[in-house]
Amino acid sequence: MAIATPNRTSTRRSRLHGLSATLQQLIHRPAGLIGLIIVVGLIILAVVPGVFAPFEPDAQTISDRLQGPSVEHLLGTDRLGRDTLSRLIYGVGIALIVALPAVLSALVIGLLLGIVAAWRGGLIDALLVIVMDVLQAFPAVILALALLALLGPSLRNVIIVISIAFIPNYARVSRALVFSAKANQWVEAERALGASTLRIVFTHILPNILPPLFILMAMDIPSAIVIEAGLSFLGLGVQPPTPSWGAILSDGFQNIIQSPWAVVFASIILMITTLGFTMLGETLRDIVDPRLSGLTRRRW
Amino acid sequence: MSTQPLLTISQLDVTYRTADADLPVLRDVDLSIDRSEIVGIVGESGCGKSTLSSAVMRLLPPNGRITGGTIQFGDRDLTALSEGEMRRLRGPELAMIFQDPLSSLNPVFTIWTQLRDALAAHSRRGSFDQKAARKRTIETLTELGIPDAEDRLNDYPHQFSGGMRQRIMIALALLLGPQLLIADEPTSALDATLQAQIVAIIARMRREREMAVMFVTHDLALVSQLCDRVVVMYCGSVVEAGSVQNVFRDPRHPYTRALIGAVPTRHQHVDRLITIPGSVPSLSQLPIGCAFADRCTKTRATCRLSVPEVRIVDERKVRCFAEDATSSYHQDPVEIVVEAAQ
Repeated sequence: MAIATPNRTSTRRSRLHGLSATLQQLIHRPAGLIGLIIVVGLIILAVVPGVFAPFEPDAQTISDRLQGPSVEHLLGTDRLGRDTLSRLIYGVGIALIVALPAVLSALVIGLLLGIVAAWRGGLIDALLVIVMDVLQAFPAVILALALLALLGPSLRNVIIVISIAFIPNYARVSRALVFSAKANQWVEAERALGASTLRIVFTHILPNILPPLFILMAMDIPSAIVIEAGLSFLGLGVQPPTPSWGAILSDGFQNIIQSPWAVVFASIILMITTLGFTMLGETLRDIVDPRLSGLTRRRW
Repeated sequence: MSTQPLLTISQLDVTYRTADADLPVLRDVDLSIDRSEIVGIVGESGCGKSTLSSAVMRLLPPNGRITGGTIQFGDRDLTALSEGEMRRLRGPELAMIFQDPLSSLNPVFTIWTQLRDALAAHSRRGSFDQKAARKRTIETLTELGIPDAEDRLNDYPHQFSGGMRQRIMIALALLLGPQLLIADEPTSALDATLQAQIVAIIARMRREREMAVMFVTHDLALVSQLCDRVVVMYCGSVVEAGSVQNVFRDPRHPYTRALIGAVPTRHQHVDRLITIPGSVPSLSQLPIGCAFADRCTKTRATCRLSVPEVRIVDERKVRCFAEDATSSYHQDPVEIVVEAAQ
């Protein structure tokens, strides 16, 4: 036989190949490494905030109000004497608990819509494309604002609203991905073996189109965090005393003359978070598929 | 065993609906395949070979429709079956292998996952024995010349070469034990040595498993080696059909002659390769008469007035008015064709 057969070990190794190779490449790029450290750090903070925060987020010490950074309060205190560092650390959890479910549900719903559009084609496809175009014509923040005004402010509604704002993104991308995946010959080969449409879509096409969608997700998480902060800043998002970054910002603004520290530090952590997720997402995208670079465009 | 053929296609019409017009891709196609018989379908690109195989599998593109005729498979008319009934036939009864083995397997699953899923999907609910299936799969793959089959089951498609992937596709088809294998140019994307191996595998499977094969190709040499009978198609209809021996030794239809004459040989040193002058008429502007008339050397007035009926001449079917054309037209073409294959 003319064809060389790889030996057992190399075969084994190649099964892990995808994930570990991506990770390897990721930490060899500065942006990827920084992004990864920031994201992992944030996740740790979100999971066990109590380990790192020196105070409870709601613990008030009225005598220590509006202080600058000191040994006791590293990032100062707000107008109720709450420790800003602790509130920001607990805020990580709030930011992620809004952003992750919002983006995840946008992914699931968008994916289903995209699959239906691409698979059925015709009128259904045309209709979905129009609806998605209309949705996407609004800037995400404005759309979220309008919807929140309808639904009323609450953590759950913030998640719903952000998710709706992101659905068109996922619907369009997955529609395009399904279109190109279903042109593959193995789809026809599966049919020729008697596979049903559902089986082809969910067991065969789905695993092929998920990687780029996950990357899109990594890049949409910071947007979702920023939108959440924006909504909370305007008082339409997560309600006090929950330590949302947006709420900390707007709270700090009331006393910005006496003590600008809360505003400064909340802005910095928001910036670092956004930067970390974006760096991670963009590096992942470049590693996995450079052709996708035009796929996500900031919309405000 | 019944005397009735396994597959009988009669007067099959297939139309593709496009924005401008309905294109008659297949017109009045008659074809039969007996049990454990290999029938070659030949013709140039766009003559409807692949459409014919898709039509039998009922896997025509969404704009394609069977507009007339029947496809009798065993005692069932495939054109009358529902999609669900058809789906149950695909695989265990009718299998298909494709031109490009590189893209015929899903890249994200190991081949065992894909083979297992196909087998499990077609076994009776709850009766799927994974161990037995794995053993049978390894045997089949080994039989088809895949070394270390047991280890390689856990490899992904990209870890196999094109020839290996085509073997896997054939194994996938064979494991389901179909009565009819439709091979749509299964060797066109492979190099010559692999081509010979794949063809040998198909020939052996036919012998050992009594599987009928519909072998679609434009490689006349392959047909002369492998097939029992040959069906020559031109522009959506069958122009000549008969045993390989008869048709290649003594082609009657001017198109068959031209096709065989165009196969390059070692003996003739020519400056230019021989071609058939002119081109295939557009399906949207088919002539009233014979579709080959504009390129034919024997065109008469009648050829342009009506489509010739199929006539039976010397144990083969010919769709031509000039079937009485001299038979010693070429030097012995059989020799030429077989040589080109080796």
